[in-house]
This record gives sequence, C-alpha cells and structure tokens, in this order.
Amino acid sequence: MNRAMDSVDVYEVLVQQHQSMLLAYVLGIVRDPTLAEDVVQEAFVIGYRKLATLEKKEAFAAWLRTIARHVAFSQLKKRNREIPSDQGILEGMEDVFRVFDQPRGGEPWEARLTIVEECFQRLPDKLREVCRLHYFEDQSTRQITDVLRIGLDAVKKRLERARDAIRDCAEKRLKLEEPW
Amino acid sequence: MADNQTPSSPSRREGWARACEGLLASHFGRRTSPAGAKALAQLRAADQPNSVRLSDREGTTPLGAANLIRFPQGVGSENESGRSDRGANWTWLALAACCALIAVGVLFLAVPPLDAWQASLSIQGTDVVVERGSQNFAAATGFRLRAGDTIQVPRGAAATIRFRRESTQIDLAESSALKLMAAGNRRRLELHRGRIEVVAAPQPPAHPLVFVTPEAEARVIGTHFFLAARQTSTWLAVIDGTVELARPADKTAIKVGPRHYAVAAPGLELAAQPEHQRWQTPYYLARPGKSG
Repeated sequence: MNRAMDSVDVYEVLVQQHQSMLLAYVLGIVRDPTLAEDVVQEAFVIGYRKLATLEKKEAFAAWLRTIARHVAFSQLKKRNREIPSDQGILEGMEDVFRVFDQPRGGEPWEARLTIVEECFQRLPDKLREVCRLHYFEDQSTRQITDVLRIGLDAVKKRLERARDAIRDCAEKRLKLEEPW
Repeated sequence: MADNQTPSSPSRREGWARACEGLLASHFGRRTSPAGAKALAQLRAADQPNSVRLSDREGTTPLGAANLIRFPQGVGSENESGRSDRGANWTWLALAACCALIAVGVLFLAVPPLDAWQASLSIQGTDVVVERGSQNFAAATGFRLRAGDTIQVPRGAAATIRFRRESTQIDLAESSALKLMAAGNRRRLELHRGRIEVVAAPQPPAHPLVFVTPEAEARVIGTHFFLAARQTSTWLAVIDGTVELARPADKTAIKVGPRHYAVAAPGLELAAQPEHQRWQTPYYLARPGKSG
C-alpha cells in the first residue's frame, strides 16, 4: 500500500463524517439537489488536494464549507443563477452550521439534528405537508399544486410560512443571535 | 440594538432560513449522497506521484518506540550491552561476570524469562521469518516464540500465534511484522506494519495486552478486534468487547466498543465511529498491509 492510498482512506473517514453537513450547506446555497451533489463532490476533491494547507484540524468543517461555497458560487455563475453572496446571508448560514460543528465525542453529525427535526414536526399539518413534498421529495411548486390541488401562490405562501416558522423555531432552540 | 447597527439583520436571518432549508432537504429528506464516494473514486483513480499527506510530518518513524514503550533494559531490549572495558583487569572482569550471573539468576527467577509469552506459531505459506536479535530463523509450525522476537510475514503467507496457557489467538496477515515484548507480566506487541486479527482471552485489568503502532496504542482486556498499521494511519475495528485506543502524540485516549471503529492518523480526530458498512468485510483491513 502506498502513502497516497492510505491518505485517501483516511480522508474517506472525514468524508463520511462531513458529507451530510456539506450537502445540507450547499443545498442551502444552490437550492438544487443535482447541482448540490456536483458541488459537494468537487469540494471534497479540492479539499483533499489542499489538506496540507489546513493548520487547525478542528476547523476542518468550516474550511470545507468555504471551499464548497466558492465552488457553488462558481457553478451558479456559470449557469447565470442568483448567487447568495450577501455577507449577512453567509454569516447567518455559518451561525447555524457552527452550532452543529461542536464536537460531541464522535457522535454522528446526523444525530445532532434533533432540534431542527423537532422544529419541522411542530409545523402545522398543511405546512409540514408542503415542506415534505418540496424538500424531501424534490417536487417543484408546480407539481405540488397538482398533488394538493391548490394554487401556485398558495403553495409558495405555505413554503414561505413553513420556512419562516422553522427558522424562528431553530433561532430559539439553537440560541442563534447576531454578534452585536 | 438600533437598526442602524444591524443593517445585515434581515439577511442574516435569511441565512438562518437557508441553513434550515438545507438541513431539511439533506437530512430529513434521507438523501443518500453519492458525492463523497464519487470524489473518493476520483482521488483514487488519479495518479498521484506527489502524494498528499494528512500531515506535514515527513515520513514516518519505524515505530517511535522510545516514546511509547518504556521497558527495563535487558528485557526484550536489543540494545548492545556488555562491551568490555579495555583497561579492566582480570579481577574486575571476574567480579563483573559474577554480578552478571547473579543478575541473570535474579531475573530468571523474578520474570518468566524469554518464554513469558508461552506462545508458538502456526504458519501458512512459506518464508515466514522470526528475527531474534541478530539472527533470523525460518519459522515452521510449532516454532516457540520468545520476548524480543519479531515475526515477519511475507506477501502470500500468514501466521497465527497461539498461547499455551490461554485461548488468546493473534492472526498475522500477509506483509505484516509484529514484535513481541515482555517485562514481567506485562506483554506488549509492536505492530510495525500490516494487519492482525486478535481474539484475546480475558486479561488481568492491571496487565492488559498492549498493541503498539506508530500512531496509537491499544489496550486489551479481552476482546475480538482487527488492528492495522498502515503508512500513515492505524485502523482499529472492534468486533466484540472494548479496546482502549490511545494516541501518545497528543495524549488522547478513547474506548472503542463492539461494532465500532477508530482511525488514528495525523489530522484526524480520534473518535469511535459506528461500524461502516464496508467494515463488515472488513474492507480496510483486507487491503494489503504495506509495501516496503
């Protein structure tokens, strides 16, 4: 076995530990599952090649997100899509992911998400259903109109309300606040 | 908090909402992403003559044994000793010889000498060598091992260490090198390279079996596990029981329970992880141990 192969195997452990986190982060930026997959893949490859430049191993998750963000912006730009480059938005996303970065003795990243899961479960039925179809089943707003037999504006409104409700809930549960 | 101090507030909250959206879509959508696997396949496929390391440490020391093992001189030690002093006269030599004889006698009575392992080898294949001091022995099944022996298993062969007084069994895979050390009742094994499978009989808690690799130290009281020492990393997969894995470099230690694994490597947090699907084979340990 050569050293490079060993390094890739060790990197695989990091990939397994951070894959879900990174996909969630990128989905928040690009809002497109297919594109998010491509971005995550490219970010992991770049991450491996630049790993020697990472000085603090504790900062790996945040460092990986930075790489993914650059890749995501580049991909969005190529596709002429809106880039959420506002500093406040990026800092807000980082606020949430930083909470989940706290090491908890090898606990899988997914296991730390009970708070957000509870927030989702607390949504009123109508909002939860539209969320499920959109986020979990990747249905477009137009497809949801057919499934639920409601108008496009109603679907968009419900998604908006669900999104705000989950954000407000997470804000309280994760004790998110702006650093001023 | 005046608004003029927080112009980014709405956008920050937009960021919180986007993060929640991402979490919902990825986690609660039970999305199984192939992105990581694809990235790894891409990395593995790439020809990388200038290998990227997880550490800027240049090369690995053969074992760093000086940091990991502190054994009394003379027990399992390969240090050259007993050089004659040119100026010594016969009286001194005789006195020294008497002292040496007494010391050897005391050592023999106090410590089960050289045979503390009470172990022998079973060999599959050919060319398994046992290094004993400066001598090399071609090992055959039944070869009795001593403290200080290093078992070298070449590619295509395998060896099993069996103990006379306990049911502990250690299987050495091909391309492995394992050194047996003992001091009194304490037994240590240095896995220089390759991989081993260990089924350890219950050990006295005060005298666990200790396995040492370049990156880590595993203390075993009675369990079944795999241990692999690779170029820059040590992999431990526990099938049954619990193994304490310590990393002397940063003085961290964790307990790895059944169906969990841990990897000790520069730049990687030492943590027990639930068994990965690929470990069921177990994938990593099935790889060839080392080349050179």
